[in-house]
Amino acid sequence: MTSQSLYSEAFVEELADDEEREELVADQVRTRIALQIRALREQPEREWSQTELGRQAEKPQSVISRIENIEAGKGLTLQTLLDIGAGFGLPLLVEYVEWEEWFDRMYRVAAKDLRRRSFDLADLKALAQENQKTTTTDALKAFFAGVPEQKASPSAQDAARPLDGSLLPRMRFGSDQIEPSLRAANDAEMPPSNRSEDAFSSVAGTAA
Amino acid sequence: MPSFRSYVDQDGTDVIRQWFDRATKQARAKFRNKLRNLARLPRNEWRRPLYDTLGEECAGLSEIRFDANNVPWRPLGFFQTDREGDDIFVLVICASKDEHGWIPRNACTLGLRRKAEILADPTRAHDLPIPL
Repeated sequence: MTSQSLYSEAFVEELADDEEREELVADQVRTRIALQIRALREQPEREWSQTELGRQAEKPQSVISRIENIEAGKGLTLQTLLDIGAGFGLPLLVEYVEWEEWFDRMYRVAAKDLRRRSFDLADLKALAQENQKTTTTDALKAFFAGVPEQKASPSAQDAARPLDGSLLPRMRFGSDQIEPSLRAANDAEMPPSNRSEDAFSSVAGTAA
Repeated sequence: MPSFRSYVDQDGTDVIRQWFDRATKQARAKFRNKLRNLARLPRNEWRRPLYDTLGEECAGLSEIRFDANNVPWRPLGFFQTDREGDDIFVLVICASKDEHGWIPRNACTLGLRRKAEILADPTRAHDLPIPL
């Protein structure tokens, strides 16, 4: 059987030729765009015709047809891709990547790998809330990972003892922590009352 | 996912590899890339613009579709199933098209004859010797 791996050594060797490599990249960019637009259009939640996508993206059906026909999609512009994205309610990501990432991502071309959900405010808000909870939990976990194990039933003496420095990170606000050139630049921007000697000695004094 | 095999003539020459070695760089790159994509698609997603089944004089064959240097290339082949039940696409000829039809003109007849040879003698096809 022919190898199905993402990129075999033999395959990579054949990319040594600049012209062949550039042709392959260009062809795959066009191919994946064509396949994804069709997959998004035919996604069960949409089941749009090319005409319907054209209506949503404010493009004639012939433009959609040309893009989906890989060989005819050579004049495709970034603006057209943005317009089609807007028609689907989807953001566009265009970036240069490392080769291994390119191989990994660009050949995921089965319809199930190309489908995406349209913009949904309620859905994104729920995700944002979930993300915030996870971030807070992770931060607490990271903080307590460094805390020595506590006794199950602390004695009255333990409970009365104030937190010592092993539990909390020491923070210094002294002006000696600031790189001199940065401090000078900062001072030039600030009114006299905010300059480093005043500001940092004030904070350091409070901390002490 | 499907994989690829290719026709070997009586002299032991792999006709697909022979075509590939003589092809332009753009044709080589696009041929490999189309196969690379198809190898990652379930068979029910093999359709235009990458692939199409043929009728009339070519009934029994399918084509892989790509253009290179303004030539519409159409490698022809057919599906088989291996012992494990996996799909294999067997390439029999790398034909192209012009305003008058197939190049070579007997591409379909030749392709169907090669298909019959492979069906009668499975050793007339082997794993495609082109890395994908």
